[in-house]
Amino acid sequence: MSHHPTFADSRLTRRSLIKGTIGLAAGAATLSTAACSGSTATSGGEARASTAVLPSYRAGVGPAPDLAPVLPGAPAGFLSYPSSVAPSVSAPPMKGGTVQIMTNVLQALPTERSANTAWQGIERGLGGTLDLIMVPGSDYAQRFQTTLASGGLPDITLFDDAAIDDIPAFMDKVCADLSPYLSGDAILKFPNLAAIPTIVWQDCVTVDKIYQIPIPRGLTAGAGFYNKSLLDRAGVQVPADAADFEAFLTELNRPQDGTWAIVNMSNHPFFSYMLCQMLGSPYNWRKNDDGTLTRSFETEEYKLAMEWAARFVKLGLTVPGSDALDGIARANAFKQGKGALVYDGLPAFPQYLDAMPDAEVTPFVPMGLNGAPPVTAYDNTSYGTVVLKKAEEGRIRELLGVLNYLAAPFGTSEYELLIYGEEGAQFTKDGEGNPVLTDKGVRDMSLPLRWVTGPAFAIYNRDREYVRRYHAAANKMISTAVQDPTGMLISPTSNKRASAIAQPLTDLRNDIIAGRQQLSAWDVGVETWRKDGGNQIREEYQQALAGTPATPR
Amino acid sequence: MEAPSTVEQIAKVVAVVVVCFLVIYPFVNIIATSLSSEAEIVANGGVISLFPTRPTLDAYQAIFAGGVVSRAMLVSFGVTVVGTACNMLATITLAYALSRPIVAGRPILMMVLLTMLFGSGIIPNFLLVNALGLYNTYAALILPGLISAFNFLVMRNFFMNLPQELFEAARIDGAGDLRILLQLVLPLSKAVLAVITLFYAVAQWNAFFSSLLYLQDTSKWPLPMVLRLYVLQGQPVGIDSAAVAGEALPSIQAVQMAVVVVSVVPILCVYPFLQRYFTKGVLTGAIKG
Repeated sequence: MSHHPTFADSRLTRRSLIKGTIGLAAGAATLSTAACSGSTATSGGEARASTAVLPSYRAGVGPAPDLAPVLPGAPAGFLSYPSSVAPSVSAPPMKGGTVQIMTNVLQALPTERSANTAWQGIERGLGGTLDLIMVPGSDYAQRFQTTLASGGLPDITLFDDAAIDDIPAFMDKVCADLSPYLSGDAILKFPNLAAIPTIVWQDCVTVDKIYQIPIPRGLTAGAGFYNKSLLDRAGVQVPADAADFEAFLTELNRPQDGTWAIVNMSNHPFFSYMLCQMLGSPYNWRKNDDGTLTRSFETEEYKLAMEWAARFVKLGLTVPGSDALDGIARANAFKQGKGALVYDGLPAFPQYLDAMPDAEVTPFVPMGLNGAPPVTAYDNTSYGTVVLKKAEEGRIRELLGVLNYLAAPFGTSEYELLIYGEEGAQFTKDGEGNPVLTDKGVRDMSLPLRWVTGPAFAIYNRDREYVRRYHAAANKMISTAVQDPTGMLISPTSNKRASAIAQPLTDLRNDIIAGRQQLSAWDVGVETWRKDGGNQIREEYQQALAGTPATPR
Repeated sequence: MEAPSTVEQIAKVVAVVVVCFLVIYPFVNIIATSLSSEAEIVANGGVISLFPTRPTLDAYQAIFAGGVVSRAMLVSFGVTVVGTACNMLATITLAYALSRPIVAGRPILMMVLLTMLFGSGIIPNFLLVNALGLYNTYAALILPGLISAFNFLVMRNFFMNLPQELFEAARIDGAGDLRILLQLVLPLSKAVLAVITLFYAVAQWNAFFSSLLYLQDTSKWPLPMVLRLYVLQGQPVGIDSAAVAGEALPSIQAVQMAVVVVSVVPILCVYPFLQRYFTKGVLTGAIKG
């Protein structure tokens, strides 16, 4: 499960390291193209061309969006709810029986099945019993490991990459190989799954096979928000070029009125998500023209971003003491109007709109420096993935049919049932035809099915301004987004030591931004990182990229 | 003894007041926040100092709506009452048996004591519970922790310190072991029984990990499991950004604080009645012997 990883220096999750193959060329233009083999990948420490083929993309059914995505598969915007919804699945995927699904639950528990007519309705749609094992998100890893050790994984299980040491072996021994059902055009038998953007499927490949089904998200985590009413009060606008950013912040900064330019929080996300993207620091690694790799924090852009961040803190442009805030306190400070800008993920947008109706909260989109484009990233492609227990072909097809049902796109009758429940019971429609949850709906619809799988991310809300702003920001960021060139490669050294050797650098970075260390200490820290394994990781990735054998794992 | 001076008395009063304030203030703050609206919490930077200006029960209504929390409370009460009764029955009988001079009891005593040194681990426990057919049953919450070695030792020591003459007199009068236990030992051991009952009851009330591992069916979840969702996840109640809510939802922080109140109050209600036994029961059982 990946939530919102930190940008630029700590995004190498185990999953991204162990992924095998992906023939998808990096770059936004290929976002929804069918994958092909041909790029490098490793298996068991051996670098070679991959044999895996990613699923083909075919746009899903449902209404045409009011705001088209910048690329097929990127988030589309809907300014109103369709007056009638049509089914996307012609027949129930199950012929009786039970499907058991284990996933995490991040909200209050839903009403139990016997009193939950939406749950019963979904079971009718599926044609069988939906047995949900709901595990609190904070305790999922322990439950996942215990269940795995007992040898009794459910039919469909939310995969926790951090709980498994040897992911390829786990996939091989326990999970069903879905490649025969999903690779290339085979996925077209499951049209709702085929409407998930190809880039999201990258999270589903281990070595040469597709083992997982993604839980798609909006592709970009965003770069935070700004309080437009504070900009208006100061008579400024978001500058078009990063060169004017400091002057912009200085205009906004009014400590005498209890208002600062930036609400910070622990680990300085304004540095990671705003400045690094604005100044062009690469997403984890940069592939140079000669085929070599450079880590983000080895670049001048990263250093420049740190220099800016440290200067902003020194100039008092951040809310005093806000570098120690946690997520809720950070949100409170922004809602109080203490700062004009804040970093929080795009999914938090409705929360700010609700709490600050007069502030015209708008997603912040990074701008480049001196005319150059910003370097944004595909840093929120999926929440995580689910795996299927090994079974005979008929059962696998049945389970994929269930997941296909759960991935019904916005504007279909299945989507309506899964998100809003049944009209009259869980929701009613307002004067403009928007579904509004009833009290019963609020209690019934916290079913955790959106952490099993879902459709390509669609932006819809009865607040049209929200849809417009979200759509504009997300699509603008996606238009300049890059992928991590090592995301699908294996480096054994990185597997073992990447986090440990990067942590001192993260600490040093935090000290530099807070003014406790000089920027000159950075080069020494990076040199230590190189000696402690950074160079070895680079070497292994370069070997994998070049197709020469890497160190066996 | 010389009477304390006025200055000393004032200093003591000040010290007591300060300590009381330090203990009570967080509770006041928790209750005040649980009764506040999102707007007021945000306006006060997340801390409601004494009492909200416009108290609201929204957070409590959100928790109890739908019956999930009410049901979990019932489950917790049931598991606590039944579980504590089973705990006490097993602990009393074992402690009594092993407090008597019986040579055959030594291996059993060693076995119990060993559990204090070596835990079997989560996965072996899970496999055992599964193999015994206890998975997804309430028994899985009660049986694996039926006897706490610590509580057993405290109780056994207490029993061993009872005067031997009483036992001899009872035997001469023709009493058997069961009668001695019921009519002699237990009435003389009210202090330790109260304390151990409290220990077990608090543990059962707070039991969360065993329910996380062994209970698949969420309708069987006890209160701590359900409440953890509210406290730790930091998510709005009942809905996320994918859906459209009919009206403003209660503040996350208010709900979290309401959850703390709901989970703490039952134990706070029981504690004062058992508190007077507390020191006597633990000290007598643990130190003498």
